[in-house]
Amino acid sequence: MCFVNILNFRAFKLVNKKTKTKNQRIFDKELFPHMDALKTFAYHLSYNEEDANDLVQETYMKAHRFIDKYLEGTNAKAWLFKILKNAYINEYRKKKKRPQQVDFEDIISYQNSDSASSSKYLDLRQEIFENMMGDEVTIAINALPIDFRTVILLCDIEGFTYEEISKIIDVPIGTVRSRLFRARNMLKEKLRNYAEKLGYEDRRGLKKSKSTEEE
Amino acid sequence: MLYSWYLFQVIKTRQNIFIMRNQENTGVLRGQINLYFDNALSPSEKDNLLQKVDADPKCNKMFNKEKTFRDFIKNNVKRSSVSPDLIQSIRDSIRVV
Repeated sequence: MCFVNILNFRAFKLVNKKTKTKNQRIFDKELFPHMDALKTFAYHLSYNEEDANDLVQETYMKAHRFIDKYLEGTNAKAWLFKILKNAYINEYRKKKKRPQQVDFEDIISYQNSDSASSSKYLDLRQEIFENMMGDEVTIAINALPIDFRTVILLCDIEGFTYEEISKIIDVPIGTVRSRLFRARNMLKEKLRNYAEKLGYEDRRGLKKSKSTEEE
Repeated sequence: MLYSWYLFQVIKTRQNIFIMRNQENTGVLRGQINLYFDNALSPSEKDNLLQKVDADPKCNKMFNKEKTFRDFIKNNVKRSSVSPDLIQSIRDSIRVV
């Protein structure tokens, strides 16, 4: 009887060791390489380094806790981003650390109409970007309401597909697309305002009026 | 008099239709360009768009503007990196748990 117990204990230890090695391998190969990307995302969500570090740490702790739910070789980055986003919502948004919030009820009708979005496209001249420093982008992105900021970061910075974003933030693909469209327009508007503050003039209208004056 | 008024109305309507179609086409094109940069077009749709970009200067301009905007955002946003201390702390806490 005692011999059987020892055998069972040894078998348990062996299985446990194998699982640990497998989990360690998953962390080393698939999860740890996304640490910097997670930090960037966390930084733009929380606005400060300390909170971003806490979020990244919490994300990995949760990933470790729920590692059994992760299938090796699948989309580790998207899985981690989803954990981080949920952690941010749970820990930070509930505490209302950030006063800036967006009421999506107000724009639901806008989001669901593609025709409206196509007509209100904001255009920017290429030279505007050439005269700007990089900091303006970070400031402009951080000034966006959280839900718009999230889609811009996930799509334009991290390169996630619409489908992946839809899974990470739990909204339909159509909503992802319309949020992206609106977020980019807001971003262009903010960048244009910065450019104007820097003394850059938008001459699109001036050219027309000048030519009519000459005539 | 009535006939010239009628002609004027016909021309005006046709002009409006032309403007509307033009706006519609521009909107569709912008949508396609956005989808292209979001990697949401099929290979054949990508080819079609790139052919259009090569052939049509207006389309080319729109395409390049969007490309500049996307590149600018991607290259200039602040990226954070994790400190070695934090990496070690995460590794340790995972090992302990």
